[in-house]
Amino acid sequence: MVDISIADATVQQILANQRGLVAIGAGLAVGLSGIASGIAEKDIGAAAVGAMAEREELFGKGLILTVIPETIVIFGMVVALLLWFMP
Amino acid sequence: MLKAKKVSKVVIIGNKKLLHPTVDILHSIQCIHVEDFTEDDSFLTIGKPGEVASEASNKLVKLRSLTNFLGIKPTHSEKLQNEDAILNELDAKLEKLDSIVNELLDRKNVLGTELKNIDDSIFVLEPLSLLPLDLEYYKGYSSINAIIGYIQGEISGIEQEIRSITTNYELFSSPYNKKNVIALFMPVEYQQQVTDILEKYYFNDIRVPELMGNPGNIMAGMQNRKEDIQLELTSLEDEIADLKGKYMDFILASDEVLSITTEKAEAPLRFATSESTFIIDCWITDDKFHQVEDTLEKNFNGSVMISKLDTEKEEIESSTIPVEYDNPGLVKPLETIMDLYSRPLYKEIDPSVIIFFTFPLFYGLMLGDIGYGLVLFTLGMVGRAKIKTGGLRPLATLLVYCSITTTIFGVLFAEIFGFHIFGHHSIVAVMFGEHSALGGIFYNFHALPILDRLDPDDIPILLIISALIGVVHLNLGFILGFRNEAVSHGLKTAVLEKISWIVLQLGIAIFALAALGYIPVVGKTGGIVISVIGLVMLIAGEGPTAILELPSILSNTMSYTRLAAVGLSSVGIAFAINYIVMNLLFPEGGVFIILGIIVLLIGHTVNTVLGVVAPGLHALRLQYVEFFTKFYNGGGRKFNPFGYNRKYTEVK
Repeated sequence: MVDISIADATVQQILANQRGLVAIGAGLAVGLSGIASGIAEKDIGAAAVGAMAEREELFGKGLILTVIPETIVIFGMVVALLLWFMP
Repeated sequence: MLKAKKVSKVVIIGNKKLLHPTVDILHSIQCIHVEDFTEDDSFLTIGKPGEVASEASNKLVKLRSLTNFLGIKPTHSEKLQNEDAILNELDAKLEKLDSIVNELLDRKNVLGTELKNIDDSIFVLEPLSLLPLDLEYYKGYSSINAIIGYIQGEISGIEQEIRSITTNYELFSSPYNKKNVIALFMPVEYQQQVTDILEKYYFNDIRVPELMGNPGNIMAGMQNRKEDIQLELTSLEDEIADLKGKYMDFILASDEVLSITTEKAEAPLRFATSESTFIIDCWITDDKFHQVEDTLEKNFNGSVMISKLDTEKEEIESSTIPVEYDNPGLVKPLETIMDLYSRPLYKEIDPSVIIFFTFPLFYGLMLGDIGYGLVLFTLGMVGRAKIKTGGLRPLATLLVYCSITTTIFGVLFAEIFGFHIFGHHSIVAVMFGEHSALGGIFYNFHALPILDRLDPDDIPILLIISALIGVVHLNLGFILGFRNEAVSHGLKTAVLEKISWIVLQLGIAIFALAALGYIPVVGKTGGIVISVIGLVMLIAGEGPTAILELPSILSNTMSYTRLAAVGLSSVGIAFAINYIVMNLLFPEGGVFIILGIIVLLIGHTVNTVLGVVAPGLHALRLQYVEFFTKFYNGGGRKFNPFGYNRKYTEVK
């Protein structure tokens, strides 16, 4: 453990610290929204596979319904990119 | 293009004697889509099937069971066989093949039954072989009870309990499969007490087979026989494989010939007939009408007539008209994508041509890599060479289209397998050093990439471009929706439901530009006024619930940012793999170089697979979810021409 008190920290260290917090934020944005997408998609996917077992031609509709919550993680990723690249 | 082929409803009427020749001709030219006739109260009845129908379908059933037994799957055949030749030898060959197969089947069944019996016997003999008794000693007593079976628990416990009844007993036991197998011999009079004791130990009876001698020896003999049977079965399988190889072409070809015969013979069941005429109710694409008319005229001299009916307006409205795509050859593969969703209705716009441009565009923008592009191109071309027919061929062609755009965007992004060619991340500069002669050239070359997907300044630009593509794509959807609504529900509805969205977006755009200071401040008020006008139109068109739909403008447009984001994630994976290999493994030297090469190969293979699947799904989704919902209904019926696509045979 390196003991750093704010008073002794150089400007570079503080900036690096902030950069680290941004990285954590970006990671949370992608990670949490990914979990959210997964939770949303699992039920739809299961139902879509069930429907396809009954009528195979429902593949197209099933695929669409299944990937609708994908948007959540895309939003998360966009937020992460904006955080990281637009300081 | 953009519309389904024009079709008309026609009836073909003729003398009933000419029904079968007419069917032959219609079946071979494959131009009409037959509507099945259902009997009503009129004097018309459905036709009678041809005499050959039942015979041919019987043969077909026999042939299909042979196909099934031999495990023959439809394949692509280079050489076409003559139909007459097949028909001539069909009966004899079918008879012969049937008897051979029946004989094989009998042998297989006999061996299978024997194998099962042996397995059953071994199952019983195995525990008995652990006891020191021959099989004949288990049977034939009158005053003694022989109890043979499994128990759970300690042998000493059970023996103690038996001894408390009588000492006049004989007990053999041996552990077997976590249980004990026992043979207990006792005088008959203690039967009830013994049964009670055994019940406590979960006794399970063994039925001793009617055999003599040592169970171990018998079992060994059976094992030998079992091995023999398995050998025989293997050679039987070889015989079946030989037979399959020898008769495959014949079976596939005769299946086709018989299918065609049956289809033709049973066709009258779909037609209406009176006492001396037949009437075929069908659809025909307008470009084929004269061809059919001329063919019928030439063959029957006016005894069979074809005439066009007026397609009623309500039929155009409804989904009953069969839909045949009308697209140039290049666009054909995209029809698969359309069918995957749903075929367009007859009156609707067929957006295949638009997807032809947008799907590969989205795909290429997401993947954007020269290396992956060339790999996909090779895969697509190999796929096209291997797959000649069937549903997968269009997908291979589509892969070729997508690989081309991928390569083009790859050049714009200057990426090969995730490595950057030029600029500060240039792979050449990394390998040879940025100050070396060669590395320096690549390091200082700035004409490419146009957009660098590793450059923090370029990524927001990429996101904005993606969103702008979204705006254009969505509004194209609204314009197509305007056209579809105008055709089906009139101009007013179309303006209120579709143009309102465009007005709304325009208002928001003007407001945003004014707020950001790009246009005079008065634009703010103007933007709000225009937005409100758009909103009022929308509510007038779709009702107050439309307000709930408003956020979709934002979410739909944002959804297109995946064009940048999905690409960045694949760049990220490639970059991570390269970093691990180049910066962490290779500098260690020795065995780490081999490890590095393995990581490189596996990593890029996985990324290629993800690279094909993820942009494909996302490009598809942008079409289906964002684009189609603005204008598309689907649910059209496939135009299914009466006839048969021959794969294995031809008519001389």
